Amino acid sequence: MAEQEKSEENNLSTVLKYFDAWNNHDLNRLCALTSVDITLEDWEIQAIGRDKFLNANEKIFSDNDGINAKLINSFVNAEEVIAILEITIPEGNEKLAVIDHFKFSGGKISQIKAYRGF
Amino acid sequence: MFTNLITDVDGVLTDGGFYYSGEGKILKKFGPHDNDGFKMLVEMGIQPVAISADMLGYSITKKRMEDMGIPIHLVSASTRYKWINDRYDFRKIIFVGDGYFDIECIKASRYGVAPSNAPDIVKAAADFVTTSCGGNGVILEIALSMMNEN
Repeated sequence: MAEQEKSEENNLSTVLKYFDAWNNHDLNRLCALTSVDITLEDWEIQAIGRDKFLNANEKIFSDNDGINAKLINSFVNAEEVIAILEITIPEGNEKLAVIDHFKFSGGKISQIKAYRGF
Repeated sequence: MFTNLITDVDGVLTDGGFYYSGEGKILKKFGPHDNDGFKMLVEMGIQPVAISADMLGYSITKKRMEDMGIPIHLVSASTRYKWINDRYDFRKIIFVGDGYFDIECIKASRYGVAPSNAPDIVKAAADFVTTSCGGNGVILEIALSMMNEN
């Protein structure tokens, strides 16, 4: 049990680091936090593998200058984390309610599925 | 102890599926047992309330809820925590939901329930996971468990 708690703590900590890297548009740190075979899926993007994951994020950052994710709440269970987010896109003054569902493998993020609030 | 049971509709009162034709969303499948469960809750002094984010299928949901005499509100998935918090006391409600957007409400409510068909992380957030899956007696199972506790 203590081992699982430690693992959950580490996973949550990784998610916090992920959003810090994401908000700083730091692709090197995103690379370090994710597994080689990471998959990213949202309502527009499907990227399989770390290279495509990084390319997809690079495009998000270049298309949406100043895009920022504010973590509202999070829930962790074993190798999964749910992050409830408010994404701000300064251009157009747009705010999106989004949930990111993270899965972990070997201490790294192996899957992110993002769901847009409706 | 509990004032209300607030439940999501799709995936709890239905199996989560929709029947589509060229005309769009035309049918949802509701289970046969939940009406009995709602009646039992009312007898225990717990008022049921249904919420749904399904705008396209809202007329279908509304018809079923009206037939059962349950108030129904169209509330987006991402605002349901605030919607409930503005109107109810989370410390006095049972909340039932099966989706990622329901986790906040499940955790905040006095008694959070997830049906067996919910994702693992949603079930992990719940106080009670029904053995029934959505559309197959989730509300009846909750009502029976409440009755057995009293």
